[in-house]
Amino acid sequence: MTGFGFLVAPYERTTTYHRGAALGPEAVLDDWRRLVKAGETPPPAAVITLPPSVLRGPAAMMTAVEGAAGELIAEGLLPVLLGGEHTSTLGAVAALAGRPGEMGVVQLDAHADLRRSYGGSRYNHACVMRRLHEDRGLPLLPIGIRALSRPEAAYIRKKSLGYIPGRRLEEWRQLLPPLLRRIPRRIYLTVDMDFFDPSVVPGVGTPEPGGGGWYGTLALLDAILSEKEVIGFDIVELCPPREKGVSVRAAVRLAEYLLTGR
Amino acid sequence: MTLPSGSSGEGFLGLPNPSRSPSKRRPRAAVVGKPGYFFDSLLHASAQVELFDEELECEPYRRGIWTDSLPPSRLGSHLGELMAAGTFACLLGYAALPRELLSSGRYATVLFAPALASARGEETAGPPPEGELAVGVRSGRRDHEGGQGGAMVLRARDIAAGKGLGGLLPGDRRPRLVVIDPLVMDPSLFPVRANLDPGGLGWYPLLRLLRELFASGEVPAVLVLPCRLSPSDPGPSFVLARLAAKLVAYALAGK
Repeated sequence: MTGFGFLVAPYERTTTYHRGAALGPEAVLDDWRRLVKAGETPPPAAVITLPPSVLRGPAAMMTAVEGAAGELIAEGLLPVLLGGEHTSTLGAVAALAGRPGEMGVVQLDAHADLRRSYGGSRYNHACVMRRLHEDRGLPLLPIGIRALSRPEAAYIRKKSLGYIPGRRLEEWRQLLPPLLRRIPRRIYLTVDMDFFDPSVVPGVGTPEPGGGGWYGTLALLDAILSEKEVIGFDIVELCPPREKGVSVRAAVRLAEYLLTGR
Repeated sequence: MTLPSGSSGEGFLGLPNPSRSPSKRRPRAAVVGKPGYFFDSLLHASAQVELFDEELECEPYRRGIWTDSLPPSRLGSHLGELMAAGTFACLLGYAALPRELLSSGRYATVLFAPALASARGEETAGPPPEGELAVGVRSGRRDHEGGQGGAMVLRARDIAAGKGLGGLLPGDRRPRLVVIDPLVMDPSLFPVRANLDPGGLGWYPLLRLLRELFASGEVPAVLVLPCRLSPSDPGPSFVLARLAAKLVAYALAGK
């Protein structure tokens, strides 16, 4: 197992329906520490928690995330970003994109996040994947998408962006292999917890029905991990106030699975 | 990511209520709700539903949707006007379809319900009429299923095994009125206190059946029965808002 470091970014500026994503990272870290004491999860080699002073706006937040992720990478640790809203992913990817070698992004999400801008900002959490795919030119593989706007659908068509919609998740064994071949070997994995079905993870801002089941998702991740090298990952958009602990635990177990295969 | 639809209106899906001027083009769909928390909660949640339907690859609501809130006493006449004008009606929160509609003989009925009696509402509870199709049954009185003069039943268990509406749809060409009891959905999808029985319909199986229904003939109106929603858990409201949006989308896709 690779040494890893947690980057805690409780950033929440643009969520609109049910707020509380800023509480996600600490909730995950608390539960992780509980399980470390119980001997279940491995202790992180480092934990960097971003202070509120750098979380007041997207530019400062992204710079701070990029810097912190860079520190972890420089120490030879796998950066694991705990968000906050999805915008924080931009900083982590910026730190990795500056490294030598090609990389792509695999996105597990209910939403496409491919808007050019939203609410007057290009850094709204609805725009994250557009920034990565269009601005940074990173190959992108979205999985689980079941809510998107007409312009986002047009962008997907225009760019011939292959993706697995939520309604076809059960067909991933047939759909995934050709899509994986279009992505470089080194990938950043970004997991918006609303990818999961609300029956598995109810604690998200907008619980879109028809998402991934638990074991099916682990099997899908197995298939991805057997072909790709994950150089960093994040878990974002958890909304703890909306539930009683099962969603936080799911996030912890997901991170544990990605780190240890267990 | 959480995101409103981008619209700023007070109607369903956050869309502004289109003008009712005779000179303006008539929307092809209307959402009509019984005043109260159930409808208010769905309206609020519907503002979070994307206008673009990823499955149908279109925005079905381009001509707008009328949104009305009417007491049950006015539903019959209003629904008659909508149906006469060819406007699809999605009814939310009423206990039953207007009695005069059901007894007219002009329509066949399809019920999505966990038990036969539940979908018929307090006013019309009892053995279902001949030819009525009940979908998703997983509980309830056995003497209401099948048999002489009974309803045709597609059980939830058979749906989980992949069975569809197929030859169960009424053979006559009458338009179909549909009633959906939200408790037909599985508790994992629709976790309200009253929904306890396992084995209910999942999201995609439910949509598959509804698509099949809308594709098989005219569906002028669908009623989603009320249930108790908790203010502390908006998830079920959002599921119902998504369901109502899909009903309108499937109805408009056929027009």
